Amino acid sequence: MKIDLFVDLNTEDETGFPWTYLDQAVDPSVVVPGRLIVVGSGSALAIAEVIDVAADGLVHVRPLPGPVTEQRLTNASQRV
Amino acid sequence: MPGEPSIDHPRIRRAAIPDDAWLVVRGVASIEPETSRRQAELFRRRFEGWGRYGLSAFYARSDDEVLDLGEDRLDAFATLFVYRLADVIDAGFEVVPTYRSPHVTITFYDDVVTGVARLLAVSHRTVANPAFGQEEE
Repeated sequence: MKIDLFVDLNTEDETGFPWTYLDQAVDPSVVVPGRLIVVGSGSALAIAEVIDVAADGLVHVRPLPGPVTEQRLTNASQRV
Repeated sequence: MPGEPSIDHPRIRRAAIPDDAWLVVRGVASIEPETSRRQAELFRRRFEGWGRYGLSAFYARSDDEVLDLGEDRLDAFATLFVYRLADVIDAGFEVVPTYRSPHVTITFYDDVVTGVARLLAVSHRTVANPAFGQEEE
């Protein structure tokens, strides 16, 4: 699956969540708080909920455990 | 978080990395050169006033703690890279206790491509992550 937002899933900050910047998104319009998107880099991907997008573009995400598949993304989105 | 004032460096814990914490753990995809370079640049952009590049990692004191990190923090990674803390420091990096324990930031000052290449050259071992790909119960 294609990555919506580049996130090094090794990162975390004071929030405890991985972080990146909005301009690391393929399409920034999909990076909306509460929305589930595909994040990651290289071989490490995750479905993640966008937690927040700050005025300076800083983005936090909450990765969901488990594999990244279209079916899981659809199912998870329906539960949000 | 929205509205958070900009700061020049990440929060550095008062407590140093424990003397018996001899391992530094990163997920394998994060040590891929392009990911490391890109993330190191994002770190410098976020903390421009600190004047250095940074990469997230976690310290561990045993193989069991490495596996716990794989389950708790790094479950998106099929493989974990485990460095000896001393080897990372000997290679010219500073390992700073940042944010919440056991998170650390591996920092360097030189050119980002050079710094990432130096880190990738540090001796390490790989550990398969049993928690990779598991869904939450």
